[in-house]
Amino acid sequence: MKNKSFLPLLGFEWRKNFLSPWMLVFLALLLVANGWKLQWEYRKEIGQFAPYQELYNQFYDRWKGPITTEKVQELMTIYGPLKEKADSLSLRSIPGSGTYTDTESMDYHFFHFNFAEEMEYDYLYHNEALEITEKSWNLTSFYDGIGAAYPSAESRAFTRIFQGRSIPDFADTRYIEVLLNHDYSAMLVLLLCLFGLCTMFVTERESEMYMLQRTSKLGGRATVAAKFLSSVQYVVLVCILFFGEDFLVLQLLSGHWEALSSPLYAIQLFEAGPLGMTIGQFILWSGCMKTLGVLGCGCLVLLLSCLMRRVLTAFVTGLGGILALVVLQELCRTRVGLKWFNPMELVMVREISFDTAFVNVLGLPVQLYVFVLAGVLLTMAALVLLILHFHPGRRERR
Amino acid sequence: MVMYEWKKLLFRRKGLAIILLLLVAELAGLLLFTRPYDQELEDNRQVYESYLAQVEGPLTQEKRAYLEEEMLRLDAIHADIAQLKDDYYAGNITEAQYRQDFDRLSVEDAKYTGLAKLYTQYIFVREMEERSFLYPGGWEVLLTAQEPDYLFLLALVILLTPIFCEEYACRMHEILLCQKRSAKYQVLSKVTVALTLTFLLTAILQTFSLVYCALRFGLPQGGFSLQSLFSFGNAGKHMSLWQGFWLQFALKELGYLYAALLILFLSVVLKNFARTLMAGIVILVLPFLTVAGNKVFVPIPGPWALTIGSIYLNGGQEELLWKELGLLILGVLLIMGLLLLGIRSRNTNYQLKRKTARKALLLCLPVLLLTGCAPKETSVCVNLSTSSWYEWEDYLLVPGSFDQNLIHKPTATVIPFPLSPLSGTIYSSGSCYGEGDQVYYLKTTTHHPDSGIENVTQDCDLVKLNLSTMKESVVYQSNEETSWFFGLLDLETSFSLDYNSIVFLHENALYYRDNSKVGGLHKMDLLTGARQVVLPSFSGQNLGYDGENLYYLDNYNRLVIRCLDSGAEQAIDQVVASSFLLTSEGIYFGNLREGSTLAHYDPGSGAVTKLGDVPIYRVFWDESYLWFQDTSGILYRMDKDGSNQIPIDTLYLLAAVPSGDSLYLFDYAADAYYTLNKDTLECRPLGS
Repeated sequence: MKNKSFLPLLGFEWRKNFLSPWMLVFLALLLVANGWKLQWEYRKEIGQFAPYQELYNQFYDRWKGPITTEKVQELMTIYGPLKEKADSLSLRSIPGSGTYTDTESMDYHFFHFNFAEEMEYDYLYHNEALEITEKSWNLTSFYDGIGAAYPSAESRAFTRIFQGRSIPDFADTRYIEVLLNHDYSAMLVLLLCLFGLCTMFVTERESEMYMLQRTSKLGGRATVAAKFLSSVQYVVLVCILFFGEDFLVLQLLSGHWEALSSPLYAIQLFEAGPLGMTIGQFILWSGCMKTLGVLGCGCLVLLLSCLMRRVLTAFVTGLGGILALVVLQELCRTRVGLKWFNPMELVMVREISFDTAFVNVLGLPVQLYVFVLAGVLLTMAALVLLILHFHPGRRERR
Repeated sequence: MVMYEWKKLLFRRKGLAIILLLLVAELAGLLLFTRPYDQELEDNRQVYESYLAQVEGPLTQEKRAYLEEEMLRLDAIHADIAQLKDDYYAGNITEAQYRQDFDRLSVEDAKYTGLAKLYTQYIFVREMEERSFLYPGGWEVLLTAQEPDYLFLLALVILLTPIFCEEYACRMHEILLCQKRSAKYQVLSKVTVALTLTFLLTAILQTFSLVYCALRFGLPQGGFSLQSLFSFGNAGKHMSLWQGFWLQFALKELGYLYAALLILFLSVVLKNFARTLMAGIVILVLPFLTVAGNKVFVPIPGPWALTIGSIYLNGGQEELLWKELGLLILGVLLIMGLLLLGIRSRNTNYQLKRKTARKALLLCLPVLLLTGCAPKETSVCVNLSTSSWYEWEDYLLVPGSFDQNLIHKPTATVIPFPLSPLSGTIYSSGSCYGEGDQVYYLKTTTHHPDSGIENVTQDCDLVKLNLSTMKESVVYQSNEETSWFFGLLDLETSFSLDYNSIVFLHENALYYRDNSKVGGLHKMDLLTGARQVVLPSFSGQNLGYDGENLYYLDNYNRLVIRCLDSGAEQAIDQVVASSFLLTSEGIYFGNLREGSTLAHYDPGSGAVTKLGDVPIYRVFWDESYLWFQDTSGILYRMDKDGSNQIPIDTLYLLAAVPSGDSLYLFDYAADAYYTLNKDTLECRPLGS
């Protein structure tokens, strides 16, 4: 019986809260705003090299993929003389002086920023990782020698992480940097989440239907379950829309797919990071983390919606709650003890995964992002329990 | 009718509480977050004002001559003082002569920065005839806002949405349509209430900032032309400062009234609380966060640029001519009229059911507490010159060629410090302070958020390392980040803990030497982050701390002991030094009266004993002997009473760190550590 009438219940909840023309208007408006901001940020990243897209593609097709000695030599025949001139400050800036671009100085910058710097970083990363592995191995022996157990375990984890790292391929990662630094879509998703979820429980209370709810057969648990499920579906849908748009817009603007199979530490921000997955995997993973974070904030909004009696106060307290979480996340860069319950940390997943940091849990070193993930899941479970306890349609126990 | 609307807004929907909260928050924001336009100007305000009194007003030939002459004179004095110090250290003039000349010159030299500020203003003023001399600090802060008041916009949305939405929510709007005095009168009274409230609130907030600027900075000479301010130097319109302020006031009023009408219109169209709130935020607040730089809004007849006010006056290509501004305002008024018509045509009108309101829950933010600092040890003896090393039991923290190293003495292992394998991105500032098994140091972590533009962000924190458990914890997290709130707001922080040297920690405050050109000893409270200057400048390169007192050399190179808690100072005339070292046995110093040779001062008896006859450069102390380096770099060992001076052949010495029965030396040419046996003077590489 429950199964047959649960799906219509779910449908009702959707129609009540989310399927209205204004919601679509807001969705469309914010998707457009997000898309505009993305392309603006991409253009800022490309910067002065915007008119040379064809030239870039030409050289990129030649040099992409595994970094071989031939490619390096090819690059150095063009770049070497330019670098010498740059070091002796004799680059010319008069229009027409350059062989590939407008001026000689622009030639140098073009090859330096787009190819030489990146390839050098990729090529030398292997050595850097070896150095780090060696240093952490020395530290491990030192800590073992003086009997510090936990620092030794941490160093051992460091060694394991950095062992064998290398970046064999050169790929265009500029748009990935824009993608990973783009937080505007997270803000829009949170706003939409607030807008959609704040009326969830409150409308019944405002129109005083909750009394009737308590007396109906499916009014208690089933309604809450339906509300919950529809909220989760809504949040996940909005997240997929916006984070998917982020990726698609930037991928289309860039046009190069090779970066997705490069390791994550090909992005300089993550050079000291603990994750060794490919960039494509990371995009998916961070999308999931961000969605979880938004779900966490959504749980908070739902809880506040339960407790308030008017839509206005539900919205305002929801907004206040989200802003408080944002401020907390930004102030607690090093205060790990305040990070674990904050779903906003997962929304800003970049901040907890670009640095290899460990938390001491019962003597074992636990990665910071794992710690925060576990903490936020716990918080979400607690919030859900609170919602089940406080929702307006609950049956009073005698 | 209007009175009833007021009562509804303020009391029934707790509007009064929200308004009071807003006013308190705005006041707090004003008091806590307003930064002066130019901090250096504020620091030198007295000198600046004394010069300004001579030249205030429009530029004349006499004022020109006066300023140029004065600038030349102070330039000369500035150069003279530097020469004076060199002469004194070289021994060309006597102490008495030095003090006399220094006193005479330093009085004038103190005016240098103040005059420099006025001189920069002079160069600015002489470019255009309308510009005059005046103190710009207050007016700049008052007139140059670059962002709208986000808090106020949010509060407006929250306050004004219920005016129409509430009636829609309880479905009374249909019944009220058939009332006799509905449509016209009810709508007008609602709109009147909303607009009056906005007008009053904007006026109150503007008055707050006006009064605050007047009280904190002062708003002199309001009759001078607007172009006298640096930010409005190229403004095309001719008006006085007060006129500029009133224009900004009017524009802001118009802007917020426009925003209020927009909110009312939205609430009438959308008929739903959540949608109106959302639309209000999306239309009023989001554009500022989406677009970088607010100049884009200037030609658009929307509320955005108007709420910033003076953005129209800044000059440059974006500035509008009077005629265009007039047309813009006409367009704005037209749109506002249309909005009004739209609202009126909806004909809403109703009475509110009385309901008793219950208090809503308030969620409090968790209080962020920082850990306190380590307990004070009584036998502390810290010197700035030896702050790059620290010894505790089996460990020795020493300087190395790039950074510091940690030496584990029993096994003679040298480990790079900070203890992290990521030494490319993490480094310490080179100075540390130790208390027992805790070592405090400044740790900087660098990140590359953007490889294309060679961007590097650095976070510098005060970190504590426990040498017995090898665990690190952050004592003070510095908030230097400039991009906040999803990377959309840029707040400037001009202070970084990086590039400073720790001297010591005392009573939950960090005392550090500023290594920038400002110099001096500064103090930062670890709980609030508030900073103040303890010593604007000191001679020699060393400062001493013994747990209660600060030891330093003043401008006459005389030793001064200052009690940190009470502030009482005691100058020791017998000790005039080029450098000194504070030890538990008294003070060893290079006596300037005896050609910088080593001498010892005993604080108990006040006696000064001469110990050597070689001019010293640095002195190191340990329990058994005295070690010093002379001006040519040779290291000597000497007994405590001054006898048995033995030179040791070590070149390229960077540091000599006494520990146990050896002296640890670092040879920066060979990039290696050596141990020197104190008694036998045998020198061996570390570990052999």
